[in-house]
Amino acid sequence: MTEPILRLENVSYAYPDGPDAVKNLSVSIEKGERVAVLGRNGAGKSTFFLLCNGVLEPEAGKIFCAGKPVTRKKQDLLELRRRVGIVFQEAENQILAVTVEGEVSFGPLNLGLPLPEVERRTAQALTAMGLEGYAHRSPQYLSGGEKKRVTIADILAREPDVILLDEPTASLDPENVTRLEEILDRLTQVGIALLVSTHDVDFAARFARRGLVFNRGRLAKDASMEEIFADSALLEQAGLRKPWLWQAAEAACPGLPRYPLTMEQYRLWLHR
Amino acid sequence: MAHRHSHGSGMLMLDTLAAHSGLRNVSPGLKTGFCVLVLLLCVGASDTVVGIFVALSMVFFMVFLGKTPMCHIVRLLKIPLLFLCVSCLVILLEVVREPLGLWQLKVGSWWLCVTSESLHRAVTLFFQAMGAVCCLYALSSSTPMPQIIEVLRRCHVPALVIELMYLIYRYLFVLLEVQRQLTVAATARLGYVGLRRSVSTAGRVSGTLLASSFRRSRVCFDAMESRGYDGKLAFLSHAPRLRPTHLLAAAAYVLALLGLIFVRKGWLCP
Repeated sequence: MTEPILRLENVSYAYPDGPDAVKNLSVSIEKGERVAVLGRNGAGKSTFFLLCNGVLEPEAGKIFCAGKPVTRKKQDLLELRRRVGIVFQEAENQILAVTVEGEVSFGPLNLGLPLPEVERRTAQALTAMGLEGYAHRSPQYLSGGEKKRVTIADILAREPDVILLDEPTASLDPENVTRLEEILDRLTQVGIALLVSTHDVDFAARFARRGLVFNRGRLAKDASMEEIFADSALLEQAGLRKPWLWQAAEAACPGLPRYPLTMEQYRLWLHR
Repeated sequence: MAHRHSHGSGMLMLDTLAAHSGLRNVSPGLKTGFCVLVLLLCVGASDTVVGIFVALSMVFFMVFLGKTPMCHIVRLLKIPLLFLCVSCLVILLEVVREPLGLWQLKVGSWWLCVTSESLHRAVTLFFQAMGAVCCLYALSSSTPMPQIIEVLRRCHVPALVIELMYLIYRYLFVLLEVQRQLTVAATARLGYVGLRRSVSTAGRVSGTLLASSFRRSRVCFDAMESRGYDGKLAFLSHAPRLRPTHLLAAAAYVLALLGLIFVRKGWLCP
């Protein structure tokens, strides 16, 4: 069996003068997986992301990147950050440069790549996000959806194996959410593992097969989405609800162990 | 391309003007060099006609080559114009014991006078400064800030200063937006009714802005670190190339200006 791309083993972290933000967390991420990360505000989702990327140093436990343990050595950290990228919730906090092209090139330039390679990756990432012709635009004149795509291009240009997206659908209009889902599908096709933290359970149900539910810094459940939504006690404990499709199907036909999560499954289920 | 002209403060207006200027495809190095050279000549010549010539030609460049609407230029020029008028007035008036010159006014035991000398000095200074101001506006209304910073970097300005300039320029817009939202929210709750309350609300808005900047800076640093930042800010940038026709045109203008200066100084006729 091949090693998972990213593995956390009994990882704990507490912010200075705060309670434990993440407690005894063990989880592993395989190549090309799609995982939804669910839980209340402050349940530890963002801390988990920052730990995965080496921005925060675990107080206990170990992180393995493609089977190799990650130490605090600079080389290890750079390798981890190359393989694992975070798309932050607020585009404004992530966008640093004054042109779109400059912004997307920041990541690859930090990798110390030669200039032609940086240019190739920047152009490729912009094309993948449908941002051709935006290269010289200033970020302050972009719309919310465009900014989100710029922040994903940022990470894509580093050619990572795992992308962590922190509440990507917050502050996007429905049209841009649809567009984001298409983009996520394309990223999965090229083999990038995606972890998406979200409060939108309907989106999570469409997006992921596997879910991680966080509750008060602990991983309360790591299971398939069906198992998670079938567990009413867990949902209540973690402040979640069932997706509308699931609820609609359950209302029509109560007592079944599982219900459809996506529109496609719902259609099949109706004509079963 | 969306044309969103913000009619807000001068800085934002210059930024939008530069983004849509007809001269944005001219090499920023040429524009910067040209404007600085003309500015030095204009200030160095210290001559009314040269000042008027530079001011008018720069406005001409902005309107006809830069396609910048005249109303925006007038709005931009208003601020320095006011400042110039006040300072030239001070130079125009001389305070003396005895009345002399073209015009006098008695104030107590002193006289406020305008002499032909002081008049000449004030008028020269006014147009000299106007020419210089128009030069800088011609540069900043046709060249986006990032390109100017890139020119400075090539002029070997220290990397720290360049990085700071980039970050300050970027966060100017972010913080202005936060400030705008805070102000709107405060106005919606009648925070700006009456002078007393306006002052206290403005204070609170500034405080909140400061606090949110600190918070933001932490998240920003996390975002930079997660993309492998290790102490050096580097961005890719493609500036428009230098074209021979542009260079020739600039050179021709500088020669014409030099000619005018020589004529005015009487250096041409022996």
